[in-house]
Amino acid sequence: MVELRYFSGLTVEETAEVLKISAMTVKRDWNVAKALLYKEIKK
Amino acid sequence: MSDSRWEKVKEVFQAALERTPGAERERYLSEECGADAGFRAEVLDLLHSFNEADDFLDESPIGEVAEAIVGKTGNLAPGQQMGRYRIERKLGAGGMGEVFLARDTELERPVALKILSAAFSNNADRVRRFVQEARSASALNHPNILTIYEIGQFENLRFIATEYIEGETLRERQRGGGPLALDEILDVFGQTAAALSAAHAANIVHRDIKPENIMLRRDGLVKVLDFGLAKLLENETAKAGSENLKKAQVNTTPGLVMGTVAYMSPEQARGLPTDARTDVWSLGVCLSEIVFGVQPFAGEMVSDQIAAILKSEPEFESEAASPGLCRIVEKCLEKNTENRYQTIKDFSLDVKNFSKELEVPAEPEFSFAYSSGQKTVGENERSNGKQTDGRATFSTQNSLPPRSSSVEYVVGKIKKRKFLSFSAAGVAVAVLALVLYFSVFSEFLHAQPINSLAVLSFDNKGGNADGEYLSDGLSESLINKLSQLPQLKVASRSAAFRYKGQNVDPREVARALGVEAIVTGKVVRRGDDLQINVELINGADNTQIWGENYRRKVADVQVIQEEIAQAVLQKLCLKLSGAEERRVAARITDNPQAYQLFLNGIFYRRKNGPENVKKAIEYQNQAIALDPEFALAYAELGASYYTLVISNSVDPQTGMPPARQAIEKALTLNETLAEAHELNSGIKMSEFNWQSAEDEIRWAIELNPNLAAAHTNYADLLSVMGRFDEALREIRRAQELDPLRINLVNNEGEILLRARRYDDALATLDRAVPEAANETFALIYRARANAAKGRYDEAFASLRKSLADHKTANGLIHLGRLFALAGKREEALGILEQIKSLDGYVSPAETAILYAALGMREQAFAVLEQAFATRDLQIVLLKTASEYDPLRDDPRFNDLLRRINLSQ
Repeated sequence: MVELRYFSGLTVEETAEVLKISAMTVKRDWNVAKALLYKEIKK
Repeated sequence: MSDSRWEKVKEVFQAALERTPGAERERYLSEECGADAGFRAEVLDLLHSFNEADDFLDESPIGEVAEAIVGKTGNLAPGQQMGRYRIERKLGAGGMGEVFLARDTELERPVALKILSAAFSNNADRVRRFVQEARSASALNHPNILTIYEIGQFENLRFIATEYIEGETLRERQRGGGPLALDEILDVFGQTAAALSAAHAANIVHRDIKPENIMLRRDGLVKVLDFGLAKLLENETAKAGSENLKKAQVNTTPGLVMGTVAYMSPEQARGLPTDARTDVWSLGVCLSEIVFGVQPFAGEMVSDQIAAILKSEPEFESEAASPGLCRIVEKCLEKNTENRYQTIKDFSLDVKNFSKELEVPAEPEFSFAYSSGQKTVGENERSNGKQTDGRATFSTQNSLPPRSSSVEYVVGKIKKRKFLSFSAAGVAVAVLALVLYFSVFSEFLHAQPINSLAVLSFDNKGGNADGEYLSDGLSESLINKLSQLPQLKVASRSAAFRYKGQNVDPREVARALGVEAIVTGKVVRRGDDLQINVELINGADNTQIWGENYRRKVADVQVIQEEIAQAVLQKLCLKLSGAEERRVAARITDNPQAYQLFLNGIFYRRKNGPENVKKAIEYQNQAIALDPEFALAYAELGASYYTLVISNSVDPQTGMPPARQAIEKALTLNETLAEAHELNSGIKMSEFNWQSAEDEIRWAIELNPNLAAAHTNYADLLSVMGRFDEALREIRRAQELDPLRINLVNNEGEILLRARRYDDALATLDRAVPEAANETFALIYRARANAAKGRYDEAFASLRKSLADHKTANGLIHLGRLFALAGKREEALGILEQIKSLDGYVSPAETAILYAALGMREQAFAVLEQAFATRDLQIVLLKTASEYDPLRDDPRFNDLLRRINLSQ
């Protein structure tokens, strides 16, 4: 998902379509990924 | 953390985010976490990170990177000087900055100057990686890869100077010139694949193959641009992600990226590691776009395109295009890299086989498919010019304007085949009749193509010396011209000219040279009048295939040569691609007088003796004075200087610089001259630039696989580097190509000698026919092998024979060494004195061999130093020759080896 959202510049809706999941799920998972990645980078 | 616990943390974190920060969220957390402080801390940690992250990652860096690289390069105006380059005009803006046409005022040649944008130039790290990447790409020496001349800096601007190509990109060709004919498409993709294949062999992946990066030169040669640059962009993208956590408000310029996205492989789109198979994908996208006229993964937005790349399966129905071609495209566009063509070579192979398949039926009935525009075989199935009938369906909607494509052509081919098979299946009687018809008349209908020939030296019948350069030069330039066609095997000049002045039976010559046909000619010159009689003879039965009598003026000799070449090719029934036809038709100079001088030069270079070679130099210089763009005359000039050096007539310091200069100029004017690349390889070797030497010789072989001399030189180069197995393979290839060069077996013996396989070397030298076995150098090789085996008597005998034949410095040095080995020191010292008083150039590197044998280390290293300083050609043997063994334990020896870029 990070690949699609970040590296490919897709919107939440576009990502949802590609991955065939709901936009809500994308948004929720995206938040988790963002927080986790930021935490890792800050370490 | 266990999975279930992590799931719970995630869930609570997500739910907490949906609640307003403050009291509401606190309450929720207290409810969910209860007394589990650890759990609560984890959730809070995540929430904290999330808040801090702000819009981290929210903005894709694609736009940002795009902006960084498209930034302005400052204002460069025509006429402005940048170091040695003078700006002429702007050609366009590319991925990394702007591109200008400029003139290299030192080498007097046009260059394309890519100026990197300031944004790019200001970051030292980026510049370092950029230079590194461009360097590795510039090491790629291949006719189908754009040559990088220089990577440099002028004031604060970084630039790359590359060769300037006059022509158009595949994109421009596709947009401007109407649909490409199928054979043109296959030719272009074949050449592109050759470029990629060479790059992949050097571990360089292009990563940005698209029609904009495939350039078609006017003579049909394809050049692939921007190697290695794409990787840099990729790095920048990834780097921008980790570095840049701050918000950067950028205007994304979708148009800019979009073009590239369409050719991205799924693994690229996903940001996964990429390898050569990524280029296979992109090439497949290009091929399908050119063949079908639409992009397989199109879309309004970048996101649509990426979605298509990742998930949609374009269908290339075999009804619409040849199944063979569809299969090739499909195999390129396999999403899973494992299912794709694993190498570009596999792709080339299928393309080649496919072209062969197409050659089978003739197709007069649908040649109108082009000329009548929309009225094509498939016209009824088209509406609005768009393929909406499912014949060429793509599961993604394409947004490109419809354009006519080669699909009609392919459809035509299929229909034609279908028709044939119907008649075959349905009307058995007709088939029977057909079979009978063909069995009787096929001989007349289908002249078998002739794939090999020899051009014998034309006879000078006028009896005056003025005619000899014409007769020799004419036949030699004919050989050179015909040798440019890879599908035609042409006997080498040295093999064919053996019969010069002899009255021979063409059948016998054809058998001896292993060719199917023979070209013979007679030249009579009277003043300015020239009469040339040419015949093409079938070597199987001595019948004349074609003959012509030309009565012209001497000034027309080049035109006559062109006419002969064209007629011969036509009579051979060879199928030539457009590019090949243009190559054969290309005129070497427009100045008839320069051509005369050029032929004279060739004639004198082929004669032995430094005086003749010096005459050749004079002639070529005069030819160049008349036509300063005369590439072949420069090549001959370089070859003449080089001949002087290798025959020890002049020392390398005098002879090599003008040789190098002439060859470089020749290649600047025309880089498809195989012989010039071959010579350039020798020059690179003399500069101890082994990689370039190998690239150049391979380039020569690629341009003209029939060039036996190139294989011989390649064998020499490989053996000097210690790559003996490969060297043996090359020398055997040369022997196959040129079976009459009886002394090539001696070259094989020399390689075995370098490999220290003395018994094999002797056995090989024994294979030579007496004429070759008694050559000056063959006898020296034999002596060296015997000396290494301790058989001094045999060695002495061979050396004395060699010296009686020709008193060479090389022979004397080995004789002196033999004396030293046999304990005859006085005699050895006597030889040393004799060498010092020899006329002509004596290689100091060879002299070191004698000093080494005499135990005179200091003197040995002194002359080796001198050899290094004067770029003595023989110093390259330091690594392999066993005669240097007494010096190998000295640190100075290793130091020398290191300086000539070889190692023990």
